[in-house]
Amino acid sequence: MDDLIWASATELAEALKEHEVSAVEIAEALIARADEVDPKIHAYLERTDDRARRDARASDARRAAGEAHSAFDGVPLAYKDIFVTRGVTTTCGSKILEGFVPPYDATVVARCEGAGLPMLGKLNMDEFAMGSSTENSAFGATRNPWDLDAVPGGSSGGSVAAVAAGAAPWAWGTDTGGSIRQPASLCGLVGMKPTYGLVSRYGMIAFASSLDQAGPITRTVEDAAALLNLAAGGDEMDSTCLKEPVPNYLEGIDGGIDGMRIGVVTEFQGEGSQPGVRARVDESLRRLEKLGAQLEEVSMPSFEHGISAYYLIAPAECSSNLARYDGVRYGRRAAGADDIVSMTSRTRAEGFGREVKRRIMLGTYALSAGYYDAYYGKAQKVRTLITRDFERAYERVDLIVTPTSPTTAFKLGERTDDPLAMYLSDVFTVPVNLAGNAAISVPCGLSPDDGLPVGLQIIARSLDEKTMFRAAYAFEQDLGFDERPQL
Amino acid sequence: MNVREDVYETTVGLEIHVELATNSKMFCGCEVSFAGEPNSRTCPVCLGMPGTLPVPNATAIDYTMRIGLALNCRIAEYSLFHRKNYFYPDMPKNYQISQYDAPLCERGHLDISGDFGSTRVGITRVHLEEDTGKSVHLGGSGRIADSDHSLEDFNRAGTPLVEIVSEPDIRSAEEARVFVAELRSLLESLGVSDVRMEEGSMRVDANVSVRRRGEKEFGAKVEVKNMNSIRSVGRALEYEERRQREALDAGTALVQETRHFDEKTGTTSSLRTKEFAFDYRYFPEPDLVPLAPSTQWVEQTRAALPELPGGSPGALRHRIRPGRSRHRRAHRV
Amino acid sequence: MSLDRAAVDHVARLARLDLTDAERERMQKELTDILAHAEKIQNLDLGPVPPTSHALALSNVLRPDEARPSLSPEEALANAPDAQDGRFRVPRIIEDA
Repeated sequence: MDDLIWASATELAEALKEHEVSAVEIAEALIARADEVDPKIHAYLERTDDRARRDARASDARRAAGEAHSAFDGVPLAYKDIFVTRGVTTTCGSKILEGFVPPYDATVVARCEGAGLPMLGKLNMDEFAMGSSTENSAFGATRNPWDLDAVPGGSSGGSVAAVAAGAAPWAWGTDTGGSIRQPASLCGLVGMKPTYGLVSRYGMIAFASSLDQAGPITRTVEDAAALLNLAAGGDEMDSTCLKEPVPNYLEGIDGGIDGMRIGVVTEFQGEGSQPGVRARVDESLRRLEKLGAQLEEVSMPSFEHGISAYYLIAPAECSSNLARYDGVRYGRRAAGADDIVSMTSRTRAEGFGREVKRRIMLGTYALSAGYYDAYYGKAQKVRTLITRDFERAYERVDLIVTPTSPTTAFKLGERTDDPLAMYLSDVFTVPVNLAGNAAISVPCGLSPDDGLPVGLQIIARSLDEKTMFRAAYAFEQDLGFDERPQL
Repeated sequence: MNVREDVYETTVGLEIHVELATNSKMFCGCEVSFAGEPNSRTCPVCLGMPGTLPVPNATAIDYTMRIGLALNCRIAEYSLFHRKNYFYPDMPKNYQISQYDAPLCERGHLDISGDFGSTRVGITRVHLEEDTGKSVHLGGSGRIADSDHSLEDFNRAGTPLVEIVSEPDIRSAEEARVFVAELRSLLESLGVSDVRMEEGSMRVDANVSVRRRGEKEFGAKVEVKNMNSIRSVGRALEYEERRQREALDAGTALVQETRHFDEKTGTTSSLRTKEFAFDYRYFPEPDLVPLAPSTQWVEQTRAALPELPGGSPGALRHRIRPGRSRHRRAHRV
Repeated sequence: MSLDRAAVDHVARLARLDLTDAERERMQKELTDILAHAEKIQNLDLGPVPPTSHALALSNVLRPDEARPSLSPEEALANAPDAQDGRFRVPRIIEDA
């Protein structure tokens, strides 16, 4: 049973193929594990045990008939509650969507269901994906399996906690400014943000539409490539989804990095990160060199404005995206209001949490008459500068590495009263979303300061996921990180 | 009354909304139809449900270009959808996907003639947006003002809607009436809309102001709504023109306001005197990519235009004099 | 750039958020802090730099004009907080900028 809990999705697929285990056995083992650990970590908002069992039985029947839908048919999966699931309550971590049962599936969900992956449930998150700690969930914080007093990171905190605690082999998260990579880093997992437009956003509840991307949260680089394989590629329901044929991300993943040119960002050297983070990242750079990569310094002068630009663009888009939560068609409605303006205003006041209100206010202000050019307009120009920084760097290097997060997991409550400090922790991840590039966070050991996981971020040019996976895989295999949280 | 020799001068600009007769809605696959029970032509996209995304209807783009070309407009090489943000319960997302400073068609004209002679009316822009749902007001008289609740039907929400904005080149109620009649028959022959004003598939709003001849500033701008036929456009604007002239004669100050035309009495009444400071917070719609019609696409659309009333196909290629039209931005107060 | 209370009130009205006095007070302080941080980009000379609203280099992504099945009215209304006669019911509509 322990084997089933800690096996990677790829190992589970292999075991299913060899008939060493049934999908039902896997589902039961994970359900039992969730029963055991979820009360401690609160990773799940909604468990769909019965559905997982039903899906698993159907998968076993398909496999017995030689009709498995994919190599991963029968390997269960859980979704951040930002993905809309037909017939399964979807709240996006918000009281305003309490009880919302969608009549449709997100494309990511539909594709994974199509591949035969049983659904374990819906995972906790910062409300509407706004946050870096999962403390902004309206349904209570998630805890870090490595340290129950620490946050798992966010906004995909439930996803990483579940996978790190053995309560799901893998999960889907979303990343607008680091919401997959930062929590993966803080929980010792692999978290990947694909190129903007690679994975359909249909049915993924919007936070900041021009930045949001879905991506895998897994225990291994191979699993991340495999999960991306299942969902990437054009979707007629999303006009911002790229139509290009998608390669097999597993193919050539073990090709090594000999001769690869890897950029180290001048502006991110030295201070800014915790010493323990710095130590592990420096060690990782040496490891990459040892594996044959050539390190080169690249200057990204506009990165220092990334946070400012991000915290104008994302709130501006969110202020508009979240206008639909008005108590008219679905979700919560405040009682007792006798006109539409007070009904909507009270519904939103009751339904949204502090951080969401703050960003709606900030974004509304940034778009409002007289301020558009100074705030939103300027931020869009900074976005161009950041993109140019990347383009210039890619003339000389294939990939860029940085720490994923300047710190390891922080304590619950430590940053909740200082929104700006919370925002600044996204410094390494935000520029990637602004430019639309691909990036992955891979574990690079435990910090000597506090024994908590540290992540290395590997950034690739848009649609160059294969090079990124190759480097991440070579690094992971060489490091052999196999620590697990003690729960 | 020959207005051209009068001491007053009337200025009218028109904003005309036309629902396109496509098979499906602007951004989703729901059927466009007047029939059917309430909320039977809706889906997660046009109900604005979480996570849903718009995908533009190619035929709606094509129809809009047809209209623009028939009105001698320049088709933009690069055009964007913007979000127009405001709350209203008949609007599922509480923003309307519309166009702002990069409309699909700009700077055209329509020549009209009648008892007033011949005149050319500039077309500022022709842009594409989505229609709203429909509210029924219950309690009280059935008008919004004294109702106690309303019911929303989203069958119409997301229907492709073209907005045609004229320059303030129209000088009388009669010119306005003829303009609307000409435009209506043009749209009909293009086959892009039912243009049924009574049913709301063509909706006309007019901005009317009267000033003393020779004055530089326009008079207070009055927006007139609810003109449900070509005839009522003439009646409403005649009434409004007369009302404003009489007010000026009497030395009464005119205020900027919105007025409602009453078909029965043939008069207009103030709907909203307070000038709302609307702040639509336009920004480029991040769920959509730009439109960049190729020359080939534009020329194919032009070549496919039918023979049009009141103008040979050659007239369509007639270019507007440079510098004549002003580019009027949607207001951002 | 500091945000005065009138601006907070105006923005709360635009955003349809019925905030308490305490929330308005805190919002004023927090937004001022965040905007102060954004001040750095205010001072950048970005005149000739074109804005990026999207990382994608796509255009003309369109859908053929084909009708697809809609939801049934029951499905459409299933999540409605209040419905009547197959429609979504809302309290009295008043205008507010």
